[in-house]
Amino acid sequence: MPYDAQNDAMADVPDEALLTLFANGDEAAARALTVRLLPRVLAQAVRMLGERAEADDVAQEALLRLWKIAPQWRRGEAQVSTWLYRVTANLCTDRLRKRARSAPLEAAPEPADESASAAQQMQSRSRAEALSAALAELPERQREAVVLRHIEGLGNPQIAQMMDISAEAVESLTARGKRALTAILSGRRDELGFSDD
Amino acid sequence: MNWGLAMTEHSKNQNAAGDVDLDLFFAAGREAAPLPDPALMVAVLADAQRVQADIAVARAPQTISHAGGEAQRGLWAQFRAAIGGWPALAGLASVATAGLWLGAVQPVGLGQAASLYLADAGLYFAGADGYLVDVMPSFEFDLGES
Repeated sequence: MPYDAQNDAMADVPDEALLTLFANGDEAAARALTVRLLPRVLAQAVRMLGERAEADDVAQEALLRLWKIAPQWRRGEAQVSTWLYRVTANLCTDRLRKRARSAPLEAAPEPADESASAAQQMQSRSRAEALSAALAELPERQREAVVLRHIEGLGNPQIAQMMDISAEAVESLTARGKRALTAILSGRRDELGFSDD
Repeated sequence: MNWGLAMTEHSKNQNAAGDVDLDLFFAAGREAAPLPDPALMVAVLADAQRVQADIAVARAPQTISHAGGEAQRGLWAQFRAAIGGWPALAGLASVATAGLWLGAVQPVGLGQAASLYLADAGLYFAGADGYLVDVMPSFEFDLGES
């Protein structure tokens, strides 16, 4: 069966069922899980680490841990996406701690200064870079909550489960995070071109 | 840092109240989500195949012994259930032992009782002695000698 057709056939299969199929040796399930989960894991790692090469390593390691846990996975105890989010977050935190120990004064990586091919693309990229830099200034929990809610598009109950806090706490974190982001981005009016002159 | 925004685009970052429109930035953040390189996909799938092979190896011996045990337990359980469980099994053992004992010793009067039973059933009649034949007369003698 062609690769895309296989993935389409498994598009409606829940993560947990795919993991069971994976543990039973189903190669198509491995591909479907990779296609479904790897982009999310990679995006989370890039946001947390700010560096692509390290994020690639973390994403591969997180998926490897998922493959290894598959035979012991207890159905109904946790969502695969939640489990994977926590594993990725822990792996990123470990790397950030090592980075802080080896180069405590190292600044966050600068966004690439590429020449724009189109004004719209440039504008979108500029906003994404500005957002990334502003997110990096938030406390970790606020950043997590804002990213999960407003970039990943997850609901508060799922975020609460992922972060092991109440839905009200998620609400509070995202509200404070958004206020902080607004303040940071407003403070960069000159860079972002908000000045009226 | 130069964010590369043209002056004509300035107002597009703000909402009607003149504040930063965060939704525009969040939308840009979603668009800018990184896609996995083919090399990363290949590496992850290679890990998956390796782990699947390990799982298959780890499960193989357990599966065989487990399945064999199930089959053995299944047959024994079926036999026991068919005869009525452990009490019936004990009864069957007692009957089998008694039958073996009767066959070996053949208590005095058993042959006569059998003849009477057969006569009652109309299966034994005068002159039909040949119907009751001791096929192993020497066996009883051997037991008596030992």
